[in-house]
Amino acid sequence: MFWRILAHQARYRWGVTTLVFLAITSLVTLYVYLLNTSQFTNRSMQLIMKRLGHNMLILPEDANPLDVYLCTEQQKDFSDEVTRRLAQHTELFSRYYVSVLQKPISLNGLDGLLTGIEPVKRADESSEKGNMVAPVAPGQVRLGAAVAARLDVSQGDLLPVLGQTFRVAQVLEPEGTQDDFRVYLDLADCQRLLNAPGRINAIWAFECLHHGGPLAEIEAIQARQLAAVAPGFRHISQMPIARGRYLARQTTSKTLYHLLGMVLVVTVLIITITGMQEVAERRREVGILIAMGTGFPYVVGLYLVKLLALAVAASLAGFALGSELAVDVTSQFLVTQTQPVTIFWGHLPRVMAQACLVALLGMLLPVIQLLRMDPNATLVEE
Amino acid sequence: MFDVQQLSKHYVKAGQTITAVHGASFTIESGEFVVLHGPSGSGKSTLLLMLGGMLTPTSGAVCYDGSNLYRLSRRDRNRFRRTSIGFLFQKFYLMPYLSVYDNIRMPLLLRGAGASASTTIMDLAQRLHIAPRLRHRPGELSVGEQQRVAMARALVAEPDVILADEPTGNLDKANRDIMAECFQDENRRGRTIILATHEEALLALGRRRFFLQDGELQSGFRV
Repeated sequence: MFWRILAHQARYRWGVTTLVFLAITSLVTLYVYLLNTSQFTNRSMQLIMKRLGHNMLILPEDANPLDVYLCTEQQKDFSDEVTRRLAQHTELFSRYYVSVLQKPISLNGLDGLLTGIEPVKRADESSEKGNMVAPVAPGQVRLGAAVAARLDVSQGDLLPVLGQTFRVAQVLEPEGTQDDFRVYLDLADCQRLLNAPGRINAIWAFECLHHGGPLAEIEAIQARQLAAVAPGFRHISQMPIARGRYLARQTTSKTLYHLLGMVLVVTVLIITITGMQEVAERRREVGILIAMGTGFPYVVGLYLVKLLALAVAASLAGFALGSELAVDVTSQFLVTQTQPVTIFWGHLPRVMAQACLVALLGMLLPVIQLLRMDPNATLVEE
Repeated sequence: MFDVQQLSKHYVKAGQTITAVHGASFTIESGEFVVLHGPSGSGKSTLLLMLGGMLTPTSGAVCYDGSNLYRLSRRDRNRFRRTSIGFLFQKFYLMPYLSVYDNIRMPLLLRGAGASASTTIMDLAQRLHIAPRLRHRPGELSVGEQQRVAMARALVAEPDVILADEPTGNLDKANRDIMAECFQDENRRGRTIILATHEEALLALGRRRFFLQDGELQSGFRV
């Protein structure tokens, strides 16, 4: 009888049933869409911001950063083993390390910055999260735009550097910074040219923000971690880049979830209002069901089971819709995409459970109203 | 069957205590036909609900076959209503989304005895002249037919007692006569009928009459 009453009642009040179904479906659709989309838009935004380059220098404590910024002859040097040691510690917030040996030089009478680089992979770096700096093959150079223009060389030309000839592998786009004057080459080649085997002046690194906390907190943790792993070294963050990345990350994730919060409130309100209206309209049914010997658990069950059945059906429909929307729409506007936008089937059980919880939350007040109802009053009121 | 002792029910509304029933004591034997009569607001409905295990009295006791209903657990009191009582109200309270057949069958299904219901329901439907209406919804029936469906629903599980609260209040004479005949039939079959009414025409049905005035039971006499 329970299921017969339930089914007939849902069909009889098809308007309310449809409204609640659509409300939950809309919520789940939006939730799944945002859940799916936020992962890809966040990643896309992170990759866009990552293009700003390394945002951290790691130097010996006693090194003067100004010497490194200005690439003076007074720069401290230290062992390139430090970079490899850091790369073994996957718990560090810093990653994408590059060992750098740099020195101002004169090329055909023009000033340039000789820069030996060696990207050092951390153990947990995937190809999708690759280093922003590509290695330079031995015997080759990569030229900053200003240097290439002044020397009037282009890709494929041969360039003598400190008595040794290198092939120009690439001419970089103008950056508008001192990097336009760099002559990049393999670290080992540079160490040989400068007679500084195993030595470097700085480590470029990238501060990861996956911790999620405020930037100052992330900075403090990074400093503690570095002191533990490489005593005598410190990090200097390029705050404009770090801040930009942090704000972009916060904005993309928070915007979507605030929107979701508003939809959640509206859905709960729809369930609550329709629920209270239904309880009021069906008060005589409650009276006669009690008079026929059922208890309140039976009557409350009629409401809750119907709602949960609707929530399960709506969560399935919403999951399908939201996932399809994400796959079809999100992939069209992502400007940087390293993974194809897909359906996260693993989210389905959690989404169904959450839809049921939202439905129960919305039904809380109507159930309280139902339990406070006096069935006798409904039977003798008129 | 029923042994009622010093039964009272007071409500507090807007700070005022209203006495619905005060100090009622009586017994009703199995198979009796009792009519409760009195003016509107005299406490008839309250008394019926207390007899049916629906409304906890302020004081006093309602014993049914030796058990004080209001000392039973809620679950046992639900079972008492499910197995022993058939309620009939002035407003019918049919489920608007179920067919007439399913409305009548409901008490049987709630008792877990719906499988062999078909013959019983057909018999009742024919007796109450609603057989052609079994597939209809209550909203498609006349007021008289709806009350007969409610009567069939009250009788279908063969309860020991029928508690009827102004069951003919909305009916015309023809329908009232059908209902009256049905009450008499059921009583002849041994069912206890307790009928609350203020209609003079139904008073003659009862072999005992209780008169209620302002919650006080004035008299209980055999006809």
